[in-house]
Amino acid sequence: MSADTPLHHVCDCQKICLIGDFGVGKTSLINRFVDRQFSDQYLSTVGVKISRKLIEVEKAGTPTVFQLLIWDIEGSTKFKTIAPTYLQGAKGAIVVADVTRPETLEHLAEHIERFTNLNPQGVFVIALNKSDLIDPEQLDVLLKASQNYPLSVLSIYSTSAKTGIHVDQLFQTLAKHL
Amino acid sequence: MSKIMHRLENLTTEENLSQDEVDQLHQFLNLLVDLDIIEPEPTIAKEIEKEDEFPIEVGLHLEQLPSFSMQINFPLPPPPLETSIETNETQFQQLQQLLMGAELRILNDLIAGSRQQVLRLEHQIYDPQELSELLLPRIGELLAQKVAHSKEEMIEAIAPIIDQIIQSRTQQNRQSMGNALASSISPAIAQQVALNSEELSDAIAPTMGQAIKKQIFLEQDAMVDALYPIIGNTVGKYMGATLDAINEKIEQTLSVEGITRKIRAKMQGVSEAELIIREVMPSQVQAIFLIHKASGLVIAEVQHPEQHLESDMLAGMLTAIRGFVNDCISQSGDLPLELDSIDYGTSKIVLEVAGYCYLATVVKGEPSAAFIKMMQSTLRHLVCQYDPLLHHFDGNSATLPEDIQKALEILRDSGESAAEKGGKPSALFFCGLAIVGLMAVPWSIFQYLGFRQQQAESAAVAALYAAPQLSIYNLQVEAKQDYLSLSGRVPNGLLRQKAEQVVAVALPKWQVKNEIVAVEVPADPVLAAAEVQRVTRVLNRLEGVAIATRYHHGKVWIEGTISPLIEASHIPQSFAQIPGVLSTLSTVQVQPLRIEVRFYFEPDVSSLHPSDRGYKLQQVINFLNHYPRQSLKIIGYSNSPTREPGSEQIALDRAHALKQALTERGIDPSRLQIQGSTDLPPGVDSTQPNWLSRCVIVEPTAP
Ligand SMILES: Nc1nc2c(ncn2[C@@H]2O[C@H](COP(=O)(O)OP(=O)(O)OP(=O)(O)O)[C@@H](O)[C@H]2O)c(=O)[nH]1
Ligand SMILES: [Mg+2]
Repeated sequence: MSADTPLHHVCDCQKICLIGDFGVGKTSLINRFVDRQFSDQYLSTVGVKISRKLIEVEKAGTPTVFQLLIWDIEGSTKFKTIAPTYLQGAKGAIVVADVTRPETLEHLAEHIERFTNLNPQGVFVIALNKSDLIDPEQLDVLLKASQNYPLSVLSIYSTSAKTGIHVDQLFQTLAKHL
Repeated sequence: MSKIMHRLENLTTEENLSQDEVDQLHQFLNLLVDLDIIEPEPTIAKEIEKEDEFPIEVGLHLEQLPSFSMQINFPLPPPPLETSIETNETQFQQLQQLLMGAELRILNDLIAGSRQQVLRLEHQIYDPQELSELLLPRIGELLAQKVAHSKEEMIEAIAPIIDQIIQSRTQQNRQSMGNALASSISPAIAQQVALNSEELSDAIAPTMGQAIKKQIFLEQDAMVDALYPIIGNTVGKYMGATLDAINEKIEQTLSVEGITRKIRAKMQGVSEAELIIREVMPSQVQAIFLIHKASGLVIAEVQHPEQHLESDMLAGMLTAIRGFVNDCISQSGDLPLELDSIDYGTSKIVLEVAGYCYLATVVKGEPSAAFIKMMQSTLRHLVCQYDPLLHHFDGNSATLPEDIQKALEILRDSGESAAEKGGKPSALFFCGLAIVGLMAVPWSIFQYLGFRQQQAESAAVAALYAAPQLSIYNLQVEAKQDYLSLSGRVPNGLLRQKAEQVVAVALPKWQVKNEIVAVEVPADPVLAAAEVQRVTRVLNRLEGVAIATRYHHGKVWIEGTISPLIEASHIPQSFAQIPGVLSTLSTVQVQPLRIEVRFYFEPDVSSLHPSDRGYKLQQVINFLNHYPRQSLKIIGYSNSPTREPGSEQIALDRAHALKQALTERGIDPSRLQIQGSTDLPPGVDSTQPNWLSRCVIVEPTAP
């Protein structure tokens, strides 16, 4: 704030989380969005990894810039759910499913519920990821079928961390409503 | 044979042999028959065949003579023949003599010669030296053949002596044996490790210690390099474990330094070992972060100008680790475990948690106990003062009061000054001690008191500095034997009182002697005006405050708006405390909170448009969650110029639809009050499109 402490932290930061089953492509989506990269290798995330990106969105007509702190949280498995402390204090979450694994789509609602219990005001966008792996008609069917989500779900995108399609929109939409 | 007989017969007749000669010949023939050299006359042969069930075979293989395998076979017991073997033999010799007197001699010579050869061969076989010479050129080939042919046999044959072979070879020439084995040693060990590492460790273990010692002796640097990567972690643990040992050692050393250190340790209530470590490693505060506990967002920070840390990432990761410790390591049932510090290299991150936030300080070296206490009191102060603000921290640090930042700066400065002060007096102390060794006790008491006083002083100063109204006055704190003396000047008695209170809270164990003077300073209009401006800025930083002020002749005019959540009387009070302000005049208006959301409807429809259930609805919910004490008035509108009957009901239904939607999203219905109206909604007139008046608006109301 004052001139004599140039290192003083003035920051508008927002925390968001990526949640979903293991291997659906959470880490890959973040890598695509933050570093513009994709790798075929699967390195399962352990615990959390935090990335950040300066983001500009239009809020109520005026462009605002803020720091997005993106928490990449380890995927849940049959035996292990996400630790609640990692989700606390996040304004929103990107919930990810893998279009080639139907069970990951079924778990979307559970993830939304768990997050909402901790952050009642939380908002979501859903990413139906790996859309490059199925044909467009099938994708349409999936998108149409997944409509019964709570109102806190702002939007549903079919994404691909590999081709990059809809990845920016995914993050932008969420950021806009934080 | 019969031909021979015939010829014999013929001979007798044709050549006129004497009877003697014929007899002799007959004898010879019989002998030949006996010896089976010729066949007898058929009749005779038959006769013999009958009796001769066990024929004697005498095979004399003359052509094989040079060889030494002369065979005489007696397959079965000698037959009951009229001719015994002896007679046979004599006959045989006779025959030999008869037949080949001269050749026999040659033959004998030959046999003797071969016997010689045989003997030589035997000698060669039994004398190892000779044998090896004999076999040497062929042995490789032979072995290879044998191995290819039947490996097992070969192995069996060599196995019993292989160790001896190696042993004796090693004795003969260690070097060459070493060379031969060298290349296969490491794979051999690797294999053994894979197969049975335990056995190997058992084997090596006893000499391991010695081996390492020796290696250290030989090549210390290389050893250090090799061990360095693991030593860092180990040393920490090792240090902890050996602190006691160090203490014990010191106990016995009666150096001057040792004694003084001992006294200081007693006085300060820390172990000597800790003191030694502290002496060697002065600490330095590198960064302080105040972090929101739940989200891990940085609320405020101060950093070392040269080594800037990535605060956002650091805070996030720290928070994740803290969460992990709380969640996963703590046993269920127990209180959650707290992460106190994280050590890395020679630095350390010390954590103090309270309320909705925690302080994380990055310190190089070992932080002093005094500094940790300071951290605790700073955090306590911040939590007491700003708890709700910290709780609802939404990531934007610009919205927070400057004092929070100030408090961290004070904490950092106190950490630095403690480090500086820590060094000098102790050096002085040692000098004094060297001169008057016996005076150690009073000196060290002095030293201890000095330390304790220092600590109290800096804590009190920090507390005063952190109190918003007091931070601008230059107040001094002096710690005496058993009390703290406050001095300085403040413009009124209220502030004087406040200062005493602040110090008492920060240092509950100390008596406070308040020597602060409240002076009615003759108003300096310039200072007062500046102060009014400063307070105005501070107040405007609070959420919901938008005021402007004017100062003139001791009077402050205040105008503007504040939100209903702020106690309106606080505003003029804040100005009244300023020296030089004699009166205040406030025209501040309480501005009602507003939510600028309208829900629009199709004609004659009273259910919410599906698209409105997303973002718009969320905004209302956000508002209600943000102001939990606020209620909402939901007003439905259905204006029709013709005043149709039923339009009032539609208006009410529209309001009800929104209430319903909010209730479904978890809002307590008692906070929602509905109302219908057929008037035009506020801000809409009849010239505007009709759809604008088919709407629901929400108005915050006090509970
Ligand atoms: N074809 C294709 N492959 C993808 C896509 N996104 C991710 N993958 C692959 O899927 C695998 C898993 O991706 P990650 O991003 O590591 O998955 P994750 O959700 O972070 O997994 P966890 O950390 O274990 O929960 C990797 O091999 C990626 O290369 C995509 O859009 N298309
Ligand atoms: Mg991952």
